[in-house]
Amino acid sequence: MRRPDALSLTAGFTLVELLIGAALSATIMAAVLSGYIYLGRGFGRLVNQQALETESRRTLAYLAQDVQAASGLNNTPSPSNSRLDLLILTATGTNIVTYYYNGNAPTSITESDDVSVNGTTVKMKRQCLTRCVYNYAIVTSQILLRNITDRDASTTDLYFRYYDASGVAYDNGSPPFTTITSYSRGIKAVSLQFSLQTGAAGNGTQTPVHQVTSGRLTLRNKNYLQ
Amino acid sequence: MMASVILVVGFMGMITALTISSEMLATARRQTLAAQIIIGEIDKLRLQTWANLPAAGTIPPSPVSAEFMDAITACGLASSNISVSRTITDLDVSGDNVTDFKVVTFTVQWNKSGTSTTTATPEGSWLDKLAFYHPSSVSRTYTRSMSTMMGRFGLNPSIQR
Repeated sequence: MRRPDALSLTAGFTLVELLIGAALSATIMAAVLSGYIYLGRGFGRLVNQQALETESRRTLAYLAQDVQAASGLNNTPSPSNSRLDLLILTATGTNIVTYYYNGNAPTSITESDDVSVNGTTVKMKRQCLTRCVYNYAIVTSQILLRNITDRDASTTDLYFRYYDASGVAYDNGSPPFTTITSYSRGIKAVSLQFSLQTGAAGNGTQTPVHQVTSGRLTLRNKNYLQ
Repeated sequence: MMASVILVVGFMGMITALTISSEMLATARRQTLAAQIIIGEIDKLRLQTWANLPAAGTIPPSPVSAEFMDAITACGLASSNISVSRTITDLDVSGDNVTDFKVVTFTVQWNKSGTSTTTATPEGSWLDKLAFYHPSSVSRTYTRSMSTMMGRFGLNPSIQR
């Protein structure tokens, strides 16, 4: 019986073969890893976009409901492009619904500011749109938009606009839509424009700017020249 | 070999899912925008007196109000690829040959981003339809419609009689 060749039993790969194999493995692993990272970022960006879409729809729904039910605008303080106060009749009286945009940039020290809403101090988070309901006893507040972006450093990126019954806007017609400085009885319609963006640019999950414009919502229950 | 095939198929599936999800989200945004355009148009009509409401008929697709242009661009659409049309129908519920109600229907129509061809169903090669390769080349038209009623004396039919 022939004994196996001792040399053939111990034969392996040469150093060059090993190096080539390691290089190929590393290349494939790098490709797989970068593929996973690319897909992960893509899905992360989609999740962020979905969050913005949800915020937008909720805000538009609240605004349409409130404006179309309102019996008028509160004229103290006067409507501005960052604040809207609506009078809404209820079974027990009139509520004041306030939409307030705090355009100050948040810092590591200060994230919110005290704002007076019908005599009650409410903490308004910065760069957020907050909806407050005052029922002549207490104020309840809810943040509607958290990701308002500042596309243009010289202007804010959320505007309420006001129109008369014939559709003429009470502002200068272009951003930042400088609004009337005193209450106008002719206001009959309101619209809202805002821009949202979220995610981190550094890790590739930042969304494109999500720009939203509402239709001109008519104050159906507000008398002309009230 | 089998592991490689599974890996590649898995990757292809995930990339396709990413592409399709992205297009779905874009469609959702455009639906929101279309709804706002229609709500704005309806409220414009609500500011009119009964006598000033437009007569029954159809207005063919026309450009959308300029105030929506920024939002349209941000949605990845060209202004020429989105339009709004209106149809008004008169109703005579009391049977006295006088119009009591008008049914107003607005329809916003737009094409998928990057396409200008109007088609009711997706068009393109099988590879395009997989949405794996250059999905924008698949033509498709989307619409959103909303209707409202406007009454001569309000919306309660019993008051009409």
